[in-house]
Amino acid sequence: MRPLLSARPVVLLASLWWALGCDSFVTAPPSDPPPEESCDLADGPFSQARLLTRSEYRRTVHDLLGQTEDPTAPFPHEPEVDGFDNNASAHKANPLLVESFLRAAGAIAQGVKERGLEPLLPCAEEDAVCAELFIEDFGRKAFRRPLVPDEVTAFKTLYSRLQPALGHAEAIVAIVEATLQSPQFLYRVEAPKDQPEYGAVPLGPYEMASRLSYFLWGTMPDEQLLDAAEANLLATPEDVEGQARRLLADQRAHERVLEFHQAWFGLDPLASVARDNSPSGLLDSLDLSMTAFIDGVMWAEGGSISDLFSSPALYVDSVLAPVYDLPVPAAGFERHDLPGERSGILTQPALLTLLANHDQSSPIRRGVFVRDRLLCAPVQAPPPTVDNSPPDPDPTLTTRERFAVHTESPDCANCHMAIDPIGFTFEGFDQLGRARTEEHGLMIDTTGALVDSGDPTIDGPVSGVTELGARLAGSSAVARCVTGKWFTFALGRSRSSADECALAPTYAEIEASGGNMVELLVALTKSPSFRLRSPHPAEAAP
Amino acid sequence: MMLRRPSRRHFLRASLGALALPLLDSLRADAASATPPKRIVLLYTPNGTNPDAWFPTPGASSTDFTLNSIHQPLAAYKDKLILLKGVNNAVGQDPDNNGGPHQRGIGGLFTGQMLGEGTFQDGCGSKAGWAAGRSIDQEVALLIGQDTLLASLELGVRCMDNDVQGRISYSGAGEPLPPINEPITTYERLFFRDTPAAPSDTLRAESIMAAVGDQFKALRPRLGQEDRVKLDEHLALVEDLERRMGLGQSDGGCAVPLPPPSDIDADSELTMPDISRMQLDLLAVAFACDLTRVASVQYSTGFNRIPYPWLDSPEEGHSLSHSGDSNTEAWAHLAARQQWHAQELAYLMDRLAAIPEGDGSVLDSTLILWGNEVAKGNTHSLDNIPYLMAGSAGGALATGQFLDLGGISNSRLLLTILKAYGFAGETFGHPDYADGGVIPGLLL
Repeated sequence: MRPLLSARPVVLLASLWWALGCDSFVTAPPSDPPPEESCDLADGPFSQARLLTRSEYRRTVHDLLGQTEDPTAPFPHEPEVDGFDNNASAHKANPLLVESFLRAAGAIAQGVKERGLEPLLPCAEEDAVCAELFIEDFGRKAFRRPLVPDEVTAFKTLYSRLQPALGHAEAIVAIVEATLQSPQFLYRVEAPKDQPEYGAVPLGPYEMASRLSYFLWGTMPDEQLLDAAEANLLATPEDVEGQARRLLADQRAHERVLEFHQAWFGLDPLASVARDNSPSGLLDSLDLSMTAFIDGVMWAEGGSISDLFSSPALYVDSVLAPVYDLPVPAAGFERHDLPGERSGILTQPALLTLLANHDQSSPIRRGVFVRDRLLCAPVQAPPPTVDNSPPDPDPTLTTRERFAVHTESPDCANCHMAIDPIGFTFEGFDQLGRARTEEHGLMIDTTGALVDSGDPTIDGPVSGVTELGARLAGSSAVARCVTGKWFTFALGRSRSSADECALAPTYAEIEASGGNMVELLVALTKSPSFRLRSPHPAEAAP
Repeated sequence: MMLRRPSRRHFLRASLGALALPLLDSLRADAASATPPKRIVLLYTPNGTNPDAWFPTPGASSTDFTLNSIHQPLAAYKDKLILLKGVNNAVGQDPDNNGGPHQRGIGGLFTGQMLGEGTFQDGCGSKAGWAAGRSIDQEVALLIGQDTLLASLELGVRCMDNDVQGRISYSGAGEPLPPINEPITTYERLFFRDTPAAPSDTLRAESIMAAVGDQFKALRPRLGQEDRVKLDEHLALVEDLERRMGLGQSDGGCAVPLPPPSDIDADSELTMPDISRMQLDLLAVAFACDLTRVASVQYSTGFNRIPYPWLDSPEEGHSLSHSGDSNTEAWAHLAARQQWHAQELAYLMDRLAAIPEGDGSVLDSTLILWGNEVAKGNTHSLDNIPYLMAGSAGGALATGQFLDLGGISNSRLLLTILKAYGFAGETFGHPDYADGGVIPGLLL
């Protein structure tokens, strides 16, 4: 299992920092579409060729060639759109990336040569017949579909140019190197048919196989998926559901689910934050603790959105145990259930540490996090003239009292009434996520409120973060927000109004499952937005 | 993939401390031609400056001025500087532009262009896409960057945002160029090359690239229009890379340094000063070896939270820059941070000045343009952007000046600089803010 703080782009939580003051109004989250809204996906957005991200490239090369080293460390980072690095239109070639592909292909091919070609070759004869068998067999995996004749010819030409001078094996290695730079490998292309198309188009079976495997595993389809595609067994929602369930039962889905949560919660910057009084190794351990928590909720506990906000679990190792006043485990991480103190993601120390200042908690960042990431109901940025540096720690006041200026000034209160009362419910935790009942000897007040959350059923006074978690756990706005984040992650784009309309049965399915997150993923794969694409415009002459 | 190791190359031992990348005093520019090539560097620092510590005190004429405190590390180079007041990021002030002030500011800083529509968020409210046009470094690369291994080299120092606030260089509208943050990656880009040792190596490399080209051709007819554009752009980059692979390979007097450490954390406040030096050293080597003539160095990103603990300045950057004017301590910190950046610029100038070329040094042929996405953090002002030029681009610019231009569009400054490199156009940037032509008194 890769820890959450792997070599992923580290991106500042600019939005959280920014929203320290505010001059505008709360933005309403997306609401139910009016009934006359079209659910027709024919008008786009078009499905775009999707360039592999670094994590997808790494896993694909591993599954295709058994490459265990990560070749993507020097790759430039993808643009980050809505928190995700796989946006179809923003992630595209640039000189540094193309150069990185070239260099990686050479290094990976060298590794293939050193490990030996036997695992890749379908035949032992060192001749052109075997080479062609290899091209078709390896090509089908690498391009994630059978090769068309021109593609076979291109590789046969390469083989016949090199074989006389370099021999059979070197020529095969060269085909691998060329494959890794071919657009059919680097991009997931959902190509149009040859004639003009009308209406939303079902994906081809191989296109569907790739959508499924890259969504749920972040890698190429396995042999079973390719076989299902070949037998045209990915055409109905039931077919898709069956494969989705199979993929989700595989360990590879665990890593992908972690990758999603890391992006959703914006955890990357945790690797480089500085917090007063933190022991060495804290950040790495916090990261692993969060990984254990998400894994536990998703796969060992109930696996529902509600569990994410209510699980009392806290996982500590020998670094974290003294910080959180728990017994040091003999080895690794040990789970402690702390009902009353810990309740779900909101009280995980990794998140509490991230959403803090170096010397104090940050009700603002915590409140903004809940609005942005969990409710999808952000508030607007503060006016540029606001002095939004946090007030200095003052031993005669609690953090809450120091931030009172926000709600005393009418200019600030307009937005901060929607942020601070959420953030104050977290005041039972300091900048390292340690539970506390007092600050400088003053009693802490953890009462707060949800105001204009976008879900009227959860608005109102809140007694503390446990109750906040419980409210969020039962909110349809939160379930919809989470589903929307998964949609963005799955399709590399945000929802259009037609998507939103077509998702109505998906939301219903998720609700019927009690907000189970595995069911959420299955329901998404069955949704029209996942199984269909809008038609490409009528083809101009190439 | 082999590291090319021609026997004549020197391999240097670290002599400047554990993390410093060594450079030979004898490092010598490769170009043997009578006229040394021109070079350009864009330098970016975030979150605005402290204007009270930035702008010089004017004297009787434009050449008679007293440097302010931020620029003290550059005092020895005063006659090579051009400081400007009254240059506005005009396009950033357009009410129809997309995005928030940090986004607009960084987008227009070196492009003079608006931001496109998009979903990059400045906080929760303001949304924008990428800048809608090429930045001047890339315009210069089209003029002088076609015969080098790299058309340009984008370097970052803790530049970790991968959105509009994390990019200064654009090869075209919506085509940002990502910076390299890890010195080891910079090093590999400059020095790790496939070097054909035998004719069969050449045959192999050419055959692979031909097959890749054939695969692009095989796929193209089956693509929709948008995908075709996307993949055509990719193929053009592959072909350009292939063309350049043999360039810049002459040994000259240029020395390949030892690689920088590969395990250094590029996103740490503890390593930032070391990484700055490593990147600047590698940039100097790249110029000395004529591997590129165009570069940018981006220190962090607009709207960052970076502390500068080596200056005893632990506050997070963006927050600090929002301090009220009465908070003199905060503004002293901001001035100290800017002064540190001036010191890094002086270091780069020292490095370039130490590389002999023609009758002078590589510094003589170089122009470094330093800019910031806003003028002042607590107002987000886009008036009086703190632009500073260092070096004359081969004698094309009249240095040793401080000019107050009274509020002109930065497009005119960018055009003036482009003219120093032979740019044929008469305007640059968004047409609404491109009038007025070159700035008088700068071009020689």
